[in-house]
Amino acid sequence: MSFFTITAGALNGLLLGGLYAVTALGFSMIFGVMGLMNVVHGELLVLGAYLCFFISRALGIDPFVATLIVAAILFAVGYLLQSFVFSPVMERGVEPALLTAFGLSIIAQSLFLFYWTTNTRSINTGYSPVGLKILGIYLPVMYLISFGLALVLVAGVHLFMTKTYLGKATRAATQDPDTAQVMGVNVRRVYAFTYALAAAIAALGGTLIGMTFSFVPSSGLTWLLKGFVIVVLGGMGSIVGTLAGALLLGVVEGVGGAIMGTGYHDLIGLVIILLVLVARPTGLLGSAK
Amino acid sequence: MKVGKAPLWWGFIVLLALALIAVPHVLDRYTVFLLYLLFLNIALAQSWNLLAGYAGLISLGVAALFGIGAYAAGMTIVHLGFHFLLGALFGGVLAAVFAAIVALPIFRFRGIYFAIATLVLSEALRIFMVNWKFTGSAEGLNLPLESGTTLMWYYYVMLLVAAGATLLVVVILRTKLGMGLRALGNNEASAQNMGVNTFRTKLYVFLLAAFITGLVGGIHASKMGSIEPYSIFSAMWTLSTANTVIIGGIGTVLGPVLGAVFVIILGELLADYQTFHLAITGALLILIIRFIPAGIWGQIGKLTLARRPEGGGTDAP
Amino acid sequence: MLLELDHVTKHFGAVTAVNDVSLSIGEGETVGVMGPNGSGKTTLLNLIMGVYPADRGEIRFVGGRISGLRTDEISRRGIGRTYQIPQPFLKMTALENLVVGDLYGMNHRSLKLARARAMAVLDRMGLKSKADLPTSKLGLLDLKRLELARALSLQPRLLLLDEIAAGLVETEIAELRSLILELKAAGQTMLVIEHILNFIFSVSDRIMVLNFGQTVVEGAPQEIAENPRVHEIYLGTEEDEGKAATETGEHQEPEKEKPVSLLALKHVNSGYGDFQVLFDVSLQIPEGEIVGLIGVNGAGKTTLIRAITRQLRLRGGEVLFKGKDIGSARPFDIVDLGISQCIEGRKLFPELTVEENLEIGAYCKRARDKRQATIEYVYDLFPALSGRRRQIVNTLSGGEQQMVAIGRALMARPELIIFDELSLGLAPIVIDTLYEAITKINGQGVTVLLVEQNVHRSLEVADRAYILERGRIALAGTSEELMRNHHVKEAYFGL
Repeated sequence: MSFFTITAGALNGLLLGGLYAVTALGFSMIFGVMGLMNVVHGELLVLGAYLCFFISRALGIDPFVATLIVAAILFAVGYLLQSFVFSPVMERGVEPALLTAFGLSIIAQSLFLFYWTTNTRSINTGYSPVGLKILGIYLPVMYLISFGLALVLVAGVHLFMTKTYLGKATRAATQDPDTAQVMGVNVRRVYAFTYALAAAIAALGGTLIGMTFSFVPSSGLTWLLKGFVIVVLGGMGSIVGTLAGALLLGVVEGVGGAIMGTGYHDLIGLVIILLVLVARPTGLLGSAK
Repeated sequence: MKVGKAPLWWGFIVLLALALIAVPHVLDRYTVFLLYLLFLNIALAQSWNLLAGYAGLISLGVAALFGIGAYAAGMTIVHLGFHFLLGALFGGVLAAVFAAIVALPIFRFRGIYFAIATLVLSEALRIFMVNWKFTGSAEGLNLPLESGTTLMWYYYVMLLVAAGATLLVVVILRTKLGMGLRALGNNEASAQNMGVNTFRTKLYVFLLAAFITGLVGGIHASKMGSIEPYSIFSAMWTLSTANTVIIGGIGTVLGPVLGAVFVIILGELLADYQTFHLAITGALLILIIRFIPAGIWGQIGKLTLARRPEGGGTDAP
Repeated sequence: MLLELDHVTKHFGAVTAVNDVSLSIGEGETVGVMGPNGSGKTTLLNLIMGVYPADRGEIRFVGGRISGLRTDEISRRGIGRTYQIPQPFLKMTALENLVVGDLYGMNHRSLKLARARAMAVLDRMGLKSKADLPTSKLGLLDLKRLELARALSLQPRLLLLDEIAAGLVETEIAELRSLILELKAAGQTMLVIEHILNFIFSVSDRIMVLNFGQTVVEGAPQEIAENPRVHEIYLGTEEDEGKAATETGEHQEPEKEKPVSLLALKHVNSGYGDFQVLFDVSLQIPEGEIVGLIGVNGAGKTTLIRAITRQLRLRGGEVLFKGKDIGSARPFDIVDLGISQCIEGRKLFPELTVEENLEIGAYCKRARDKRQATIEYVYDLFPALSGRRRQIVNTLSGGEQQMVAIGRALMARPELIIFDELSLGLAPIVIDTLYEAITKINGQGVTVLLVEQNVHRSLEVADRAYILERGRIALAGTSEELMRNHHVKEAYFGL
């Protein structure tokens, strides 16, 4: 356990944090804008992974290209889910909505199991297992790609939220849905769009997961919990905060893994947020809604 | 339950008790096993319902308490030679201790954050147990099969626990603790204005629920003969418990019982279609939340009470 | 001294809700607290009950310090409180509600004895027959009685009543008043917060008047009722008159012919759940005029606005805009019809910039394409804002925020703007600027409905006005007529 291994761990972790950011972004958006704890988010990621896997194979195209198709599909799915499943339940409070998402999660997992069995899958391309040696540290190419994509995505969403009319309306609806309604913003439609966008981003997240790791029908829970850790660390609903939280988690896992060994890897993040939540129930960076 | 109907209820209960005591001697092993599972579910459901149904605190950490009970029982049976009942009791106690420790931090969270915090705790514990060498990490434990401990034993023990849990709920609701619990579930701030120490009230109920859950886990560990963290700490325990209560009727005494019966029967009907079983359960959960949030028993309660002259409902049993 | 507040101060961010307030209540006394909206009355109550800690000062009860204790500890020491909007345990019966208080508030054990004692209290409050009803089935007066009963089940040495008469009709208020007077005669110490002025005058031994979180004056009810400073707080001063007139020089002549009615309400009844707030309200807002809607807090002004903007269901009557019934319109369609609001408390989007807040104002179809032009108009109207376009509104002063709120309402290019309590919490100079702007806006042809507490200010700038008292139109006329009318004060105060 030398300084070198720790640095390697930290750097790898930082880049991996980019991947984490992409997977958590959708979850963070939905929670930030609508206050909905979308516990079916893990399954959206996994769905994205499966669809990418099959579509890229069937059409013989690169997974990233396939992601465009998958994103469109998930966008539609998300829009419908929010409009018809969540919207009527959300008026009754947060718990019914949470349990509904729970129910969806169960349905999704069992459908995945049925159609696609328990076989472990991963999306392989020529370049996905490759690594680069930079300054003597081995960095997987997928980590680098994910990191780059994360930056682009976060910048993109940020621009959307600050420069477009719909984006501003979304922020307004986040801060005060009743007043926004009074100003003529159709808040229901804003929510549906937000969910759809989050689902589309999850498509990309799924692709990255599939290419960097492997997945099975039940993989969703692990990624959901990571998403939750990141949202708590980075502040609910803050786009930039989500990126920060993800990078932080990545670094902590990387360093912790270098010190303690990989078994307790996933545990570290969970323990940390529990500690954070105890100290500051509203998260590290975010504002309480 | 109105006083006038009490004799009828008592008669029914006595008959049911007699039937349940006699039944395992005439039915086949598989059905007895199903009934064992039924009682297991009822016990878990009743304890979950105490917090969720009356205080409005939805815990997604049933698996954690269940697993702790299972492992505590397992470890003491294997390493200290405890009798399986003693081991199970110890499991319940350890689960309650765990609950006491985490109560202070997690009760700070309101509503949804509480639910997620319990889920996180549960998952963290599972990952930890997979890695902990002391308890056998991923391979888990093998418990010695005790001679003389037959399926019948487990059946009767679990029946006792399920009946006990149900009775406990009924009794609590008729005491000061029950009043305080319902008050804080209705309106926490208002309850504080009336002198209810809401933290302490939640704590007591949480400890009781944890004990029962741990006890059930401990018994089940012996029944299974071997335990490992993936299945014992699996979120499925949490899921099925929540399902059972919501479908049956959250916040009622008989709801969990009905829900358990329903879930077991559904499981049997769909035994050949394992994956659809899960999907249908999920769909059912969504539909019930959307259209019959009071659950089956709760809805029946609303319909029959509505026909009485004064109408309306309370959350009293 | 039973209760003592010693130089208590409470801040919420930049707002000082309670500023150096000292108060003492002796055993058996009934002290009333009154003041306009936002004067800090409920905050005071919450401070006593430990809902949040005071930033400075101390609160003592029966000589012992209670500041810093938890709410449940404070209630067990013997302070009971009622909420303005009753907060019973809805899924429990009336009796059970009181049993909770008896068991926990008094540290009793036996359910049986608790039930008996609770029954006795219900009897005193006239609720004996409703003991086993779930509280969700009770009507408003019964809920108020229950609120009182619940507080009494704690056998409190001090009773805190928060606007207990709000929302009730005259006969119900009389019943409640006699209940309170009975308690008083039995020696109960009470702190009463109230808007319904004749109620508070009739039950209090002493009254404290708050404004902007500070004590303005204290004294016997009669003194307070006649105190000119109190009138000033509620009605505004005579100095406010004549200001707007000299600045704009414009003042429309009262009706030459019957003007066209842009908005009309006919026999409107409305409220929240069991709580009826508006009773048979009819009014006309002629096109091109500034119409004032004046009344104390709790009179129903905001409810009336919500009824117009379809955020509230009507229980009777109709709302006509340009002659057409808009009763079935959805809230976010109202803007497209041409009605815009400047909401009470501003309700700006706190983390958006000035320009973004304005832009959202133009989201509706009728205004969206013209928003650039409208934004320029707004900056023209409020030069102070044009230098702050990119500032986050949270960081602006109260007056500037109000300007943004007005601007945002204008962005929808409305035919009718409703201003709800513009001047709340603002300094007179700032209010002058705002009223100037309103007159300019009206000059451009926009019809204005101005909802206010300050009588003189609104009469000065309005063409006509309606005085709302407890949900009914008490007085109406052109502003000249009303200014000369001595009954305005009475109607306003409900004396």
